[in-house]
Amino acid sequence: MENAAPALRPPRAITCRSLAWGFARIGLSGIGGVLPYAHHTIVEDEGWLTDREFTEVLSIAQILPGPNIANVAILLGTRFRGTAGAAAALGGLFVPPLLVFLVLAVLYREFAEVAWLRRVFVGIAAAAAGLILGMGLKLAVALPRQAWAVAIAIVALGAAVVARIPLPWVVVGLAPLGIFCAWKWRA
Amino acid sequence: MSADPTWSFAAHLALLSIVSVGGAHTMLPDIYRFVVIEHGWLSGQEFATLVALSQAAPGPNVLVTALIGYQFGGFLAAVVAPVAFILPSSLAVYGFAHLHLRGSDAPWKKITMQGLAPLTVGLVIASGVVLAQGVSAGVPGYVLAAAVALASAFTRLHPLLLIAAGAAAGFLI
Repeated sequence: MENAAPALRPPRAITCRSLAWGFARIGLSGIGGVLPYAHHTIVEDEGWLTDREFTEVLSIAQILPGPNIANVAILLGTRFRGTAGAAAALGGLFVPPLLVFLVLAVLYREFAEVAWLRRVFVGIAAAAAGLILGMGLKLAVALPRQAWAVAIAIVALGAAVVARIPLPWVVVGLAPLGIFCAWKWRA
Repeated sequence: MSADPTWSFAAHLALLSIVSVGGAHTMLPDIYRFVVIEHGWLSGQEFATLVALSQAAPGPNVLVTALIGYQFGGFLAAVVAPVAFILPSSLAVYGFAHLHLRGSDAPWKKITMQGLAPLTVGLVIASGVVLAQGVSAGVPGYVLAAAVALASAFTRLHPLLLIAAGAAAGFLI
């Protein structure tokens, strides 16, 4: 472990139990995305990482396959407590919310046929579609204003919505192409 | 095709896990294609509703796979599906964690992120479009989805507030 600012928890104090508990709080607090809560818990509450280290871990987590927050859990768990730490962090992140989701799944099944609830569900389904579209718009605005980036976004959209090409092919085709373009036309 | 839905769903998710970029929302169009179009285990409207519920519930977005799995495979699928979706990528990340790569300003990281960003954008927008189509509530459904999209992109309204507004609109229409 490298030298850290004095505010940081010494690595020995970071047990599997504290990893599981910390990531359980992150998992259970995230409505519409857990990353802001992750930063709060990991940097401010627990003092596991500095701001800079957090950004570093997050940037690696975003590049690797899989949910970003799960990747953060594995990277931190491994760093502080090896395999057991990774398992503890991942378990803490997913098991408590999964219990909530199981209850929700049962309730939905139970009440899906109630007529007025069906109408409510149609409304929230449309809203959810809108939320995801809105997120896409925000991300699109943040894209570099370069022709290749716009082209790849449009091709990915068309492949998924119009051509309905299975996603692995889309990723295998466009991810290397995107990285090549980003390298070729880097600012 | 004759395989048990739980395990063929799990196998599909495991495959997606390895190629997943930019979180669960980029995978939704393909999960929709598999579950709704190819196998008909759920209607488009049910699928879109479950995505909405997953957004309103506390927990990582990938747990939407538990909600979806439960509807045709019960508790077994509700547990197997998220595990299948998380485990393969997690093993890859676990292997990577031992490499101890450092430096947030390493140029390869920046270029990789920039290169993947347009793909993520295209797939997230595709998610929204596919879900809006799945709602199959005709013009009012599209209008509601578009209004929420604009509100969430250009105002700072809380997502739960927008979902609540959608619920109210659905009840009244």
